[in-house]
Amino acid sequence: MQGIGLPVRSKDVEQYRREFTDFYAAARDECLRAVLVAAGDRDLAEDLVAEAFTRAWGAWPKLRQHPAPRAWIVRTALNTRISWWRRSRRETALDSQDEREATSPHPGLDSSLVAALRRLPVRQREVIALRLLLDLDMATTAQVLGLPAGTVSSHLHRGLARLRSELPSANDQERIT
Amino acid sequence: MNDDPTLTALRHRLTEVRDSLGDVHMTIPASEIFARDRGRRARHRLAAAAGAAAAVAAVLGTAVALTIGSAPTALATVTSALTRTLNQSYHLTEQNGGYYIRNGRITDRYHETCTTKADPVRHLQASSCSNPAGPDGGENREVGRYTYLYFTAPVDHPGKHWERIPTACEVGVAINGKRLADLSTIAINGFTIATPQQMLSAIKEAAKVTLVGPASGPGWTGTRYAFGKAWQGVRISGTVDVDQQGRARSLVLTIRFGHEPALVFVETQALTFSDFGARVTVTPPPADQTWPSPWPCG
Repeated sequence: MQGIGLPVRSKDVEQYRREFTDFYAAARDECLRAVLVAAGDRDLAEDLVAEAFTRAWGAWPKLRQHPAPRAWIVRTALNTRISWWRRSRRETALDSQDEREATSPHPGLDSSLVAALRRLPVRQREVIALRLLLDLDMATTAQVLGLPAGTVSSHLHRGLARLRSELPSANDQERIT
Repeated sequence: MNDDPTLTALRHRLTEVRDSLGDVHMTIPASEIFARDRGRRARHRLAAAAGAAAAVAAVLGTAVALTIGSAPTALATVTSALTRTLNQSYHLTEQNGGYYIRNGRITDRYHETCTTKADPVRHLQASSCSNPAGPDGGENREVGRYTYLYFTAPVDHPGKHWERIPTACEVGVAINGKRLADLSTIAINGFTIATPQQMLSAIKEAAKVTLVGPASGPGWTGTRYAFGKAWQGVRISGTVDVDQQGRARSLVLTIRFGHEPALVFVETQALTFSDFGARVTVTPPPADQTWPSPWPCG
């Protein structure tokens, strides 16, 4: 028995499920690392990435044709303000206060860098995450964000410049471990 | 781009930090992603299935006791009509939708159409919804103490299609940690909140109900009322059409969560009631096609 107007056949659902499972296995760690650098908190990052993948599966019939689904995941994770944990308690909070602060920073992360990233405007943070953490090229980044390439370049430059201004050690630091 | 040395160093710093995280892995299996999505759909579907009652509760949650400026007759008429409507069998069609507003742009828009037949007195209900955006269709049945949700191909329950949830489970929405359910008595068991006593108990907070003017539909004429309320980042507004027999025929509801420039979520429901008093028959799915809900409430 199916719902009224069910738009997708069962065999399509099975195919989608296989595709999505493969995509998840291949992309999840890379997405998590990119989000972790920007979010700073291991649990929060995994929370956000899981939320993004959950949304991705909900929209998979459309998203499977996306030119850069990993970028979609990272962008969604970085922008989401709805905590999965609240949702898991069947509650939805839609307020800026819901944006969780990092409470347990990952030991491998440079806390000053993470803090500076978190202070960036959303667009600059998105561009840095997609261009530098996901290694997307300029054209794909522009396509994912729906921006002209020149605007992406501008956001990247401004974001990096702002990071530099907030990270004095960036001038002389050669290696970060 | 032409980086100066410090920008180049910063780029290296970012990528090296990323590369240093090689031991970081997602611990959540794909099956849990599917389960989360299913749970979300189920919650949304249940909320939608109880749309009549949830919407009515929202209206009543807004329709308090005679605030200055509201007409007592309008409030009494709407309250009486909604109570009467939800205490007899009916058919219902719903147009449910929602979207987010991020940075001034509307995103993640969804829409679904649901049809329901219900007999509140006998605790019977069957609803079907279509959601063009998702891979699953939507159907649920309520028979007595349980509500059953249909899934096309649940990966963790191969060969089965129906998740069984105690009807008394509640779904809540919280704003800043305060449950909206406490304010408007939204529950997935619409029949529970549809009793006059509970509906009346839902009338706790101030709001405004006003007479708009004449209304009509196929085979009926009546009066339209408007209502509205805002509290704690939530704004509710809409209209109720009451026919000459004192029954609610139509209910249009918009709930807006949050304020810009923060993330805003807008949910809309348009309910149309018909076939009052019709005989309703609903049977539970075959037992071998069901599994108990893993939700805490289940």
